[in-house]
Amino acid sequence: MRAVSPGSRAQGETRRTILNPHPVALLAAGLGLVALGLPWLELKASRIAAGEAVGVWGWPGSWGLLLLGLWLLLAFVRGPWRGLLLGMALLVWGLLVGQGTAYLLSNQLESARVSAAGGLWLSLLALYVGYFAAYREGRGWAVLSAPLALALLIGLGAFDQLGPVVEWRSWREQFATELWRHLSLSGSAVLLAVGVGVPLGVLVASSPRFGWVLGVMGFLQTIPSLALFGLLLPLLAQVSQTLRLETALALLVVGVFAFRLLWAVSGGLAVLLMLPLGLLALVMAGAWLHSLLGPDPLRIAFQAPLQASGIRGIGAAPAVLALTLYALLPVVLNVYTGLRGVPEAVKDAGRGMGMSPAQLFWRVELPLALPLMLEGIRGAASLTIGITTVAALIGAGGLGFFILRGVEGGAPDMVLLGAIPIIGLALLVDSALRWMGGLLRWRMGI
Amino acid sequence: MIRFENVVKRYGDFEALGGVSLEVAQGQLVTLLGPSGCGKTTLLRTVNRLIEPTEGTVFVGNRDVRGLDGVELRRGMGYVIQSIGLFPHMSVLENVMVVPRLLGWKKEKREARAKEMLALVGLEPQTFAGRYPRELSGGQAQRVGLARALAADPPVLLLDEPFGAVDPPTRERLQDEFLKLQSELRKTVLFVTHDLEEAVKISDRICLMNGGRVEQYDPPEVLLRRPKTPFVQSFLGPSRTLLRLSRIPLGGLIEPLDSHRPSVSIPHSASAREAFSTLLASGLRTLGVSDATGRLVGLVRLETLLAAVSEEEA
Ligand SMILES: Nc1ncnc2c1ncn2[C@@H]1O[C@H](COP(=O)(O)OP(=O)(O)OP(=O)(O)O)[C@@H](O)[C@H]1O
Ligand SMILES: [Mg+2]
Repeated sequence: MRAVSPGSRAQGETRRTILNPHPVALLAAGLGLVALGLPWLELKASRIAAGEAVGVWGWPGSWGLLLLGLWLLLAFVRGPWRGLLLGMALLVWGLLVGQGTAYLLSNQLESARVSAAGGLWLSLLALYVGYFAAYREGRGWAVLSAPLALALLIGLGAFDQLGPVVEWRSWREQFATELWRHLSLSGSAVLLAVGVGVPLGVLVASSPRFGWVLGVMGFLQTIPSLALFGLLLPLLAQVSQTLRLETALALLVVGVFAFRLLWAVSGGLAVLLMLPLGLLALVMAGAWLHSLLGPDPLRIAFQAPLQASGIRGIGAAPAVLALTLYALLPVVLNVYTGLRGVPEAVKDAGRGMGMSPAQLFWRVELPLALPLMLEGIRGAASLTIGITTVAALIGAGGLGFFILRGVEGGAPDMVLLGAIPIIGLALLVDSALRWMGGLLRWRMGI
Repeated sequence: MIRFENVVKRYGDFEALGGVSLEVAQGQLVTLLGPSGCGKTTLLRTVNRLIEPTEGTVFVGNRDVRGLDGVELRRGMGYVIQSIGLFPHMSVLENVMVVPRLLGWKKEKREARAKEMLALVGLEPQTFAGRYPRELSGGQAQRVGLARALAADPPVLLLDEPFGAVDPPTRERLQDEFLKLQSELRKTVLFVTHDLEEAVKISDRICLMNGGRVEQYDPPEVLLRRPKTPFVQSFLGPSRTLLRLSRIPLGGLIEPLDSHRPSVSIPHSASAREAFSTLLASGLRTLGVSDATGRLVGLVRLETLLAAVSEEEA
C-alpha cells in the first residue's frame, strides 16, 4: 500500500532538496571534523628548529567551535547554501589560524616561527573537497565565496604571522623576481613549443612518413629532467664558448638552404642535418625570448662567443630548451590527433566545393582541430609550470629557487613559499585555458 | 556537355571503371544507377577531377578536364557528396555560402543568395540559417547539402545519392521538389542512386552500371521496355512493368465522361501507375479523373491501362 497524497510528496521533495546529505559533502565534513582533532600549528624557536604541535583547542577563542558547527551544517545542507557556508567555513578557518599564530607567538622571541601542521592541511583538503561538491549545485556561490573569503582573510592579515608568509615578507623582492622569472621561463617554453609543435603536428598528420616524429617526442618525454640537464650542460658549454654569434646565425641560414637541397636527395640525411641546427635555433630563441619576457636583460653581442649573448651551459638557455622539449609532446600529439579526427567526409566536401589545399587547411581542418590543439597547449602549460621548478637546479631561477633553498636549509616554510604559488599558477592557467576551450567550442557550435 | 571517352580507373589490379563512354547533353538529368560498388561514385568524381582516370578522357563543355585547374573546375560545379559532409563548425547559412565565398562574392550578395537557396530547398531561412549541422535532421541536412551545391548557380550538378539518408516518404517529397526545381533551372545533372524507382521517376536518361561498365544507357521508358542484357533484366526485376506505368502520364489515357459516374476518382496529375493501383485497391474497372479544383473531368478504364502497357511492349 503506497498511498501518498500529492501534498506530502511535494513536501518530501522539498525536504530532500534542502537537507539530503550529499556523499561528497559528507566526506568533506568528515575530513573537516577529523582535522579539528589533529594538531594544526607547530611552534618552533627558529625557522629550522624542531617544533611543538598545537591543536585548535590549545588556544583560547571560539572560532574552533564555530568551524565545528559549520562542518556539521555543511554535511546536511544542500543547494546554493552550501557554497555560502563553505565561504564562511573558509573564513572561520583563516581566522582560526590567525588567532592561533598570534596566540602562539605572543611572549616568544623574534626568531620564533609558526608553521602549518597536519590538521590545518587536512582541513584545507576538506574545504577543497567541499567545493567540489558545492560547485555542482550552485556554481555562482561556490565560485564566488572562495576568492571573497580569501581576499577578506588576506585583508584582515589572518596569515601574516604564519611561517611561509613571514618568509615571504623577508624575501619579498626576490619573490617577485623569481615569480616573474618562473612565468617567463614557462611562458617562453610553451610559446616555443607551440611555435614548433603546431607545424610539426601538422606535418606528422599530413603523411604517415613522419610518424617517427611522435616516437622521438615520446622518447624525449621519458628522459628524466636532471639527466637532460646533465647531457645539455657540457655540450652547450662547449658550443657557447666556441661558436660566435654571427657564425651561429650564418650556420642557421645556410642550414635552411642546405636542408632544401638535401631534402630532394635524401630525406633522412636532411633531417639528420636539421636536428642539431634546430636545437641550436631553439636554444637561442629560448634564451632570448626568456630575456624579453622576464626580468633578466636581453644581451646580443656580435663578434663574440654565444655566451656573451646569454647562452651558456647553465642558466636560462638549457632550462628553456629542456622545458620546450618536454612541452612538445602534448602539443604535437594533440595537433596530430585533432587533425586526424577531422572527418574524411568533411574534408572531401571541402575539396569538392573547390577549396585549395591551403583553404581546406585554414577553413576546415584547423578550426575543427582547434579545440583539441588548445587542450594540448593546456596540458603543456600546466606541465611546464610544474617542471620549471627544476630550472633552479641549473641556476635559471624561478620559484624552484625557494624550494631548493628551503630543502637545503631545512626550512619547510621556505619550501612552501615556492610550492604554493606553483600549484596556484598551474591551477589558474589550467582553468583559464579550459574556460577558453569551452568558449571556443561554444562559439564554433561543436 | 559532359562526355566520358573510354574512362578506365584502376586501383592496383582492381578495375573500378572498365572503359566507360557516355555523353550527357546540356540540361539533361542523367542518373548513374547500379548495385553498390559498381563504380558510380568513382565515375562521378572523375568529372570534377577528385579522381583522375587511369585511362580515357572526360570532357566538360568540350574541354578535356585535365587541361583545367581542378580547384577552379570544382568551384564551377555543384557537388553533393555521398555522406553529405556539412561543415560542423559552420552554421547552415555559412555552409551554403562556402562556394560563393570561394568565388569572392560580396557578403550581402552571398547572404541573400544563400537565403534564397534555403527557401528554394524548402528550409525557412529564418529558422534554419543560424542552426548548426548537428541541430538538423537527416533530411534537413540533405537539403542543406543540395542548397550548398546550388548556391553559386553552377551549370553542372554532381549529386551523389543526395536523398540517400532519408525515409521513403521524405525521399519522395525531396524528389518531387527537386524535379520541380530542375524543370525551372534546367541544369546538367549527374545523379547517382542505387534506387531503381528514384531513377525511373526523375531521369531523362538512366545509365545502368555493373562492375565498372555501362550495361545500358537509355531513357527510362526504353530501359524498362527493352532490357539489353540479362543483368539489366534481373536488376529491373519483375516489377518493371509497373514501373513503366509510372512513366506514362495519365493525360493521354483519359476518356470523356459518359452517363456512368464512377465512385472513386484520382487527380489529373497522377501517373498511370497510381491509377492502376487505385483500380486494384478499389476492385473497380473504371476510375474518375478530377482536375485541380476537384471537378470530375473524365474517366480512365482498366482496359486502357492494360492496352497502354502491352502496346508499349510491342
Ligand atoms: N581508393 C580506392 N582504392 C581501392 N579501391 C577503391 C577505391 N575507391 C573505390 N574503390 C573500389 O571501387 C569500386 C567502386 O567504388 P564506388 O565508390 O565508385 O562505388 P559506388 O558504385 O559508388 O557504390 P555505392 O553505391 O556503395 O556508393 C568499389 O568496389 C570500391 O571498393
Ligand atoms: Mg557511391
